[in-house]
Amino acid sequence: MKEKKMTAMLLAAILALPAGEAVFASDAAGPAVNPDKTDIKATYVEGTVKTAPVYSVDVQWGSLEYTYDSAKTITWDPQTLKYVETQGTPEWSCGENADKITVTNHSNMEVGVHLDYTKTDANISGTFDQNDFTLKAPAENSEQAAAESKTATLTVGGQLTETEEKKKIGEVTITVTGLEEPAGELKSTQNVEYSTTLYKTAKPGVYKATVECPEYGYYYFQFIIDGTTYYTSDNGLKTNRPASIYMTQGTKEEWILDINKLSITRKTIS
Amino acid sequence: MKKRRFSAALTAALAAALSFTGMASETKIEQSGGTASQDVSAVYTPVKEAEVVYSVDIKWGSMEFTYTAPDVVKTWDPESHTYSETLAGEGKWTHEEKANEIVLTNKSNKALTAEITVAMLQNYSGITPELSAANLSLKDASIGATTSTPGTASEASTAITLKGALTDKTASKTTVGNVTVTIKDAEEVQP
Amino acid sequence: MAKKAKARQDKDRKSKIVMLVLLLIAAAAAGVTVWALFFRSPAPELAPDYAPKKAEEYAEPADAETEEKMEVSEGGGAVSMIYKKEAAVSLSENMVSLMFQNPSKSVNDIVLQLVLAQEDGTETVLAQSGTLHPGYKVEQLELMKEAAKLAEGTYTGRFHVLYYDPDTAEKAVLDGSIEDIRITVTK
Repeated sequence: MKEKKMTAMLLAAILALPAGEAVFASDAAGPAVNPDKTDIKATYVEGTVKTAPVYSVDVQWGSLEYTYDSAKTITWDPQTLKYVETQGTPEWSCGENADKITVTNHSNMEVGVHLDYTKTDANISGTFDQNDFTLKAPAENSEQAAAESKTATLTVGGQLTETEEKKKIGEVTITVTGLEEPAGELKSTQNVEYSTTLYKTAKPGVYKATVECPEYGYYYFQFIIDGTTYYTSDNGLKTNRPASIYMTQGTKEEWILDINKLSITRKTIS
Repeated sequence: MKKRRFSAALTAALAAALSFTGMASETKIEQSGGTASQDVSAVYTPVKEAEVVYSVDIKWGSMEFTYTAPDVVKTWDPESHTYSETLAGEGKWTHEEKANEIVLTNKSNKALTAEITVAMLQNYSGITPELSAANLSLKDASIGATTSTPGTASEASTAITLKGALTDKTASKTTVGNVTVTIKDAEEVQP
Repeated sequence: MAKKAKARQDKDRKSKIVMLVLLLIAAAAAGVTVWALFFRSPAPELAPDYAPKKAEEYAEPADAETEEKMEVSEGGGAVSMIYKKEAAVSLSENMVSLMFQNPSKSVNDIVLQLVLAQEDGTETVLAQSGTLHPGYKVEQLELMKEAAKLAEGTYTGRFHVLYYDPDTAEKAVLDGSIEDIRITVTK
């Protein structure tokens, strides 16, 4: 019996020793830890909100039917007993709003709108008062009617040959492009490493990028569109070989890259 | 909230109105890079028919007539030693060549008619005028005409003759009546 | 004595008033006479037997080139007329717009009347031109007094065309009447 008591007391002493050390250690590090309870802590971090672009653009067309008045006048001349034809200034006209195209953006992102007129009658042209514009996305929870819309007016000009029937003279095509939609990467491939996102614009074949280079010097930028590599240079875009473009450190620029015209337009923002 | 509902309702009404005044159709584009197309058409306004230009020529003779009274036949009556007078036949009206003619020429691009009327003055009501044609038809001069090919002026004429006796023995180039030429559009013949 | 003097004074004053009134009446009469003789424009004689000496004031030269005169038999006449069958009366301006031309190839002078037949069959001359010589046209005429009574609206009238010998100014035995002239009357 005595031996059992001694053993238990020794064991207890042994067990007490590390607990005492733990006390000393925690005294050195911070407040005392209750040996019976340990807190589990958790911290909430917001997840990345991923919004898929949803495009919904309404296009309201006018009838796009025009009337051509040749301004030809025929008068009877009783002295010569012949008809006399006089030509005034021909005029084009249309019904109210027939020449209007209204575009309304119900998408959840800004869109670019581009209007094209293709003539099918070689003598008649069509021009818009505005053929490139952007439409902001409606605010979340806003009414349908609050969506931004813009209206373009098509004016036709030229000469229509005499015809009895209504004749097709051209076609209007509207293209809508999501403006925050990346088109690729504008990447520097030599010297200094740098890349920035290339975005689509309203006009097909025209892209934009914000460029802010870390160092002075010549950069060899390139980007790929539909399998074709375009290289930037001080004289525009090249497709045959890399070329350099001089950049200033710390200057933020907005670039418009037009693969149709192989041109670069640079604008300093800051 | 009320403001929002009101503006929404107003915008919807305006949109509806726009849709009824020349806006022909609607399209929806639901993807980036999406396109929509619409035909543009034209109608040719036909050249207006030429307005009618009236042009009429009138030519007339002197309208001077000479009345030759019938011969007076004097017969001697040996019983009474007086003459009795009788008129041999009737008086005669004469005139210079073409003096009694009226000619109308129509150069209008419209068919016309002309009505000729002769009114004798009150003192000469015993004289009766006669017309060879009281109503003249004048065709449209523009028939067959173009900007290079001339049409044809149409002509019509009438002649005045006088009947009856001139009782005024002192008449010498005295006005005995007037002539009026009344011009109207010819009535269009319905096909 | 004083009474007599006062009576004489009253009589004198009355005489003076009477003389003053008579003088005023005489002056007014003289004024009207002078006006009537020298300042009043007389209304033209309708369908005169002789062409008015004064050419139509609103006549304008019409032909670009002078044409060869029409053939005319001795004592006769010849006219060419170019006209439109519409006339627009403006009551406020006291004018009528129309078109009547006496081409240069005409031999005779013309006086033009715009005539309106009333419902009772009588005719009213709305306007009469002065002499329109060959080579001239008229596109407006002053209205006659009677035209002021017209109500706004559309009427059908006629042109009465009088022809005159260019040498003797005598009216020809023949005159013309052009029917169905559309007359629009506005304020």
